[in-house]
Amino acid sequence: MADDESEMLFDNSCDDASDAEEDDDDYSEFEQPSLAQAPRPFRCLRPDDLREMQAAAVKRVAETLCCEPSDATVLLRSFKWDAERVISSYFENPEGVLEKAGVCGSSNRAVIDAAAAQPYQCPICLEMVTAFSALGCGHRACTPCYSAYVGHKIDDEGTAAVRARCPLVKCRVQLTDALVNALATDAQRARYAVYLERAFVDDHPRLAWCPAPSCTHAILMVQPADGAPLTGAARVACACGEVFCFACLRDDHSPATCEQLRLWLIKCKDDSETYNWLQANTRACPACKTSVEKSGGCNHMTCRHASCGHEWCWVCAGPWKEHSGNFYTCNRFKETDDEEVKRKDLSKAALERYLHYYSRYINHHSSLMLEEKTRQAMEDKIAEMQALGSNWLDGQYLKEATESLIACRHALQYTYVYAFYLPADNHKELFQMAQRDLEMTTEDLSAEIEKPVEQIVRLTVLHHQQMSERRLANLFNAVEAHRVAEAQAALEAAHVPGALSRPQSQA
Amino acid sequence: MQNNRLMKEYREISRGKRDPEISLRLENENSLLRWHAVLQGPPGTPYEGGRFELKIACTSTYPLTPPQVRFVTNVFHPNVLFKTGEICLDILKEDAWTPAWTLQSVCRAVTALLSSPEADSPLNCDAGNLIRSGDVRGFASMAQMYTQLHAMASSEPGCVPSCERT
Repeated sequence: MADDESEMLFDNSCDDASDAEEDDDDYSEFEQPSLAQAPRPFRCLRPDDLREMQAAAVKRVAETLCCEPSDATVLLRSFKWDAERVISSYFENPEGVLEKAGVCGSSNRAVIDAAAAQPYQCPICLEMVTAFSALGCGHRACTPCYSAYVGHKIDDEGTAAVRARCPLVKCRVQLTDALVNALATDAQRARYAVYLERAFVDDHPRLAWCPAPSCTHAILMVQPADGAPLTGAARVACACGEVFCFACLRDDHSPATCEQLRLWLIKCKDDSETYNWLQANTRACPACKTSVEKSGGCNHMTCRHASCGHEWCWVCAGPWKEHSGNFYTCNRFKETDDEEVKRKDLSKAALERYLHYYSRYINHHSSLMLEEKTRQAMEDKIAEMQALGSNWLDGQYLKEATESLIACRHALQYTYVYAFYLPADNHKELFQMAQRDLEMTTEDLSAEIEKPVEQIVRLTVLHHQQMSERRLANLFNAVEAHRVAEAQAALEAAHVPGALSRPQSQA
Repeated sequence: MQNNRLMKEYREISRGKRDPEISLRLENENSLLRWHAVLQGPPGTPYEGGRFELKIACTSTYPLTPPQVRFVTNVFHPNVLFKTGEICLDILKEDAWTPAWTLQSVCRAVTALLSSPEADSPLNCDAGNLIRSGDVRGFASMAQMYTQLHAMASSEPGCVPSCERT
């Protein structure tokens, strides 16, 4: 019975996403999400485009709020470069916004290397001096000390330098670009410019650097019309040819999620020394997953990666907010102690299960490693066909088939990651059927185009290619449908009090 | 810059003008980087009457980077690790440190930490839990006991002077 349904489900969504409406009403809730599967639009930006984009945002804020461009930059940075939010928040509560961002509200300008009328004691070197520099807050320090301070921030604190503050105790005013550029050496100034650019992309929620080595491009996700936030994996392609996932910057890994891939890769590496060290000495920040090493201090962790700033508990990895005002007991800590014993019993079965998925994952992975060779082999075959009398254009279908084959293999390797983390339920059954179908046609296609030239039948190749492509789409639709259905179920459960899920505070 | 600055601080400290609650001196005359401080337990706290020794180690980049400060005397306090004397105080971390802090003002900040423990980010969880559960009396009597045990010269006459000499 269940099997019958699943056949229908896959056949329906297999045809085409667009005629989903015509299909049986019973399945409409499954069909619906496949429409939403359109890839998120994105643009690839060169360094010049980035500078332009940054300058445009600064200009817009500076003009609207009638402030210095360097103050506008600081404001934008504290609002993750959302110019509209800067402006609307500013008009709601000007003082609060300025104070939070660290911009000096008064009309005082920064002073660079001026002479004071009366000698004063520099708070850094403690000498009596007259020369001074100061930000709008008016806190003076002698220029050599100020330069040393700025230089230290740039040389030793990396991108955190863009968030450096006035050196006076407890003053929260941010250093402005103008002051930094006036006081830093040429080399430091150049590095500071790089940090500014890096911080812009790191802080902006819709920008990410292309992870290819020595590529200087960044990807900009286009803001959806409904203003929905960016969530989950998104496949993007850089102008340099690199294809990657926008959310985690790794290889495009659909249908597996970023989190699944992260766990999977750690698992695959698990006998390497680096992994052992990471496992023993670091934990992933629960918000941004950056590895964090605790080098001292209390269990109150504040993530310092880019603009993350998440505060969490080292012991239980829960948000720190929930710890205040309660006993300092992290229940989860003990729980894992008990589970440790059970886990050892289960580890053998788990290993076998893992090896099952891993061997299949690595099989497709190594086939892909030969990608270039496969492409070359196809070129040779086309040449051979020409020698046998067909013309060059006729042979091109082989090239297309090869690209399809590569795309299928690419997706197939990550289907094993996805399946590994799926709980054993109906969806997994359905998914594995779709996966099996795709794998079969992929292997058929592979076998067909690897035949000697004389035996390749164009129609058979085309047939296998089309089947593979269709089944690939089919599989993605099933995954997407499941994801949406689950999200909906979670939403409904959250709305019904006392239903399936219990609020976490009771745990 | 740093040696001038430490020299300056050294001179200022030896010239008098000291805080009665804080006595700061060089660990030995050859290096300006290592300091030894004794804090008087703030009155009205369980630490009253105790003398708490601190070790301060500056790096060559001081005052651009914070000094490392730890208690030599065992202290029962939520933000001090009992065994090692490690202190969890924001101004001693790169983020909140600024070069306008001096060794004197750092010592003053540590004294202030003694009078106002921050139980929400504890290094010493037992001390933190006592305060969080509202058992302030329990916490005070524990802290007082340890103060008498470790920070009062009379209870252990041999210990404190010998520490001072090293």
